[in-house]
Amino acid sequence: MKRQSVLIPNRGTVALDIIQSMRSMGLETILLFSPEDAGSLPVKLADRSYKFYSSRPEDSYMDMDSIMEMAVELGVDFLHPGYGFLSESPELAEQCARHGITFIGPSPDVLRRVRNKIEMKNLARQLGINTIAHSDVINSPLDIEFVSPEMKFPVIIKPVTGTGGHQIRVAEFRRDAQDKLQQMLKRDSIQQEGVFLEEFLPFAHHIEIPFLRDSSGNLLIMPEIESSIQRRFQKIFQESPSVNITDDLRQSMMQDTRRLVESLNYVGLGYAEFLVEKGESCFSEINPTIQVNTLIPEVHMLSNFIKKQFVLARGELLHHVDGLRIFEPKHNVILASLNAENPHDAFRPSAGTVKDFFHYATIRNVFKTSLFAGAEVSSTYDPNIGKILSFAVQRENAINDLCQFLNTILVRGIHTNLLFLKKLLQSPQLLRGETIIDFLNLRFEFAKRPRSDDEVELAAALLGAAFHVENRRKNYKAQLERMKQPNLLRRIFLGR
Amino acid sequence: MKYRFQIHKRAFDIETAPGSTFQSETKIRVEKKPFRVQIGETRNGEILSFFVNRRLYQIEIERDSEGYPSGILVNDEYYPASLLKIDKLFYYRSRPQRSSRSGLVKSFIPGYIQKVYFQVGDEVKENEIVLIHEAMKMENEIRAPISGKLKNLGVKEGDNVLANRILFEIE
Repeated sequence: MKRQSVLIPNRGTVALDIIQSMRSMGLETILLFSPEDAGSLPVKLADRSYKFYSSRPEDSYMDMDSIMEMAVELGVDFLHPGYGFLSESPELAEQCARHGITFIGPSPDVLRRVRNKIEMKNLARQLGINTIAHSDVINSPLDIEFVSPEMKFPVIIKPVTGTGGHQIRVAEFRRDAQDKLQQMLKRDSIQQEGVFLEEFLPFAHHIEIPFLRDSSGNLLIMPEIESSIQRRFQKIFQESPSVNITDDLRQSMMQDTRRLVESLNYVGLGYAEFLVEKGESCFSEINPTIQVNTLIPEVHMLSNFIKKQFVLARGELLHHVDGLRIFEPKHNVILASLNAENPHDAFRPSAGTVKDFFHYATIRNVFKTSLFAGAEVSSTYDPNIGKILSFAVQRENAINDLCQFLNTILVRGIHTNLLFLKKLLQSPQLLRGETIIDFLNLRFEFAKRPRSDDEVELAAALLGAAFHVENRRKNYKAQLERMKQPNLLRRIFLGR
Repeated sequence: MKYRFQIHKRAFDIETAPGSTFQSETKIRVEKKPFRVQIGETRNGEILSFFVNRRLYQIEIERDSEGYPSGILVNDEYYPASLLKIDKLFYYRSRPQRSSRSGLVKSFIPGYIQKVYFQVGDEVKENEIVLIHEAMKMENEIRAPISGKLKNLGVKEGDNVLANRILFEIE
């Protein structure tokens, strides 16, 4: 029998995870990569790789036609989309089904339903689940006139079918919302399906419930993840379980999740997202892909979720799950996202060549990264370059361990948010568990940290010494050059 | 040798023996306060780390366009810096920083121009947001480095730009 193969149209750590897991299932891994990623780790590790013609996202990892063409031509058996890019696209899943390729993820029908955020909220309400106040679909900036006057500002503006946080905007008041709507609706991709307004809750907690469900309806629910701390709607710090919810609330959210996935007849891995404020939960959406934080339930259960996704996609059943199983956590797991961005310059993304990279982990740390000395970090894609995890029975110990681990990591050549993460992990507000959605604006100050005289003096000594050595070498070279000059007069006057 | 640096808004006089190579523990005085400094690791002539009192510090020096230090990272902690003078004779940095700033702004990485707030000929104040440049899933507010008239606008809304392209120029 021919060896089965899987196509991976993705990059970075998720591509690495898929390559590793699928290979250990005995599959041949075939990677599609963009020209900018030619030197990246996934290309080095995949069994076979094929290059896209261009690095622009829409001509590479977002180009469904090219991806399907390759899949058909290579005769692959499976396609794992990873996360981001086309991973939530029902069209890609449908195309795969049409060509007899198994798409590793939920069915096209489920993907289509969970993609529409408003439809999901309506479904939740029909099932008697609380949702956040939101507007109807808005297709033109003028539609804001029809938004109910009861809508409280600030609001967040979301594309109805958007994926990822980068398209979301916050508007402080009505006029502001109108301006931002106008901007967002200029993009063709957003314009087609429209946007909607949702109440912005800066003091709420962002909770996700990961679940796995098989085709016989057996459901495994994993401990909740709190991922409140975000910058520009990208998650920075996540922990599980959350310290901000009671057992009753946890139970009720898990029951809500169960009702939702059962009514969708969801098969595969997914996350139900809730916002929790004042002891009440509001359902927000379902994320149908593997995520950065999939590492958290993987550590809770000591299992590989890409393999689980794979067996569920093949129609197999979950082991040791009969009906409903709720997994009890034994540890506190925390996860930080390592990004290529400059915390000293408004977190601008940073690109370049990594000159130096090392780290040293304990048995309670997991560090997944695509970095290596010599790696090119490009600016075309996401700034996330790694995920760093630590676990312990006590939350404080897990946080402290992670911080100690961060101290062993050194990256030179590009800017990273390492220092920011260290300061974040040491902040008393975080240790007290005051993790809220607007934490980075309301509870934490990074830039204004005062520096002691000792620290600045030390920096002065280091800079002075470095400059002295450099200057001395430069003068010495200049002297040598002068000595070579044939002009005797010059030598008399200048060559000391 | 004497050096005068401004670091983190304070000026420091730094003094060291002229022949010091810092290959072994060497004294350097910062405002008369002595530090014992030794090079830890170098690569291609660039110093990567120093020992100070037997403790290792990773450093990375940021440079301006002429190659002079404009900042230093000490164990990832950033300190803006500028060289004021070397000994008493040479003033490398006599001109104030302001006048050296140009009104020319280039894209620092490739991206997408999401929004442009001004038109050619408009008066722009220093630090006002001129346009929004989206790259790596982030929105970067590109602000005016100086006040003046917007002379040249190299991009329009919806453009994809490469790195190092002129975004706008202020006069």
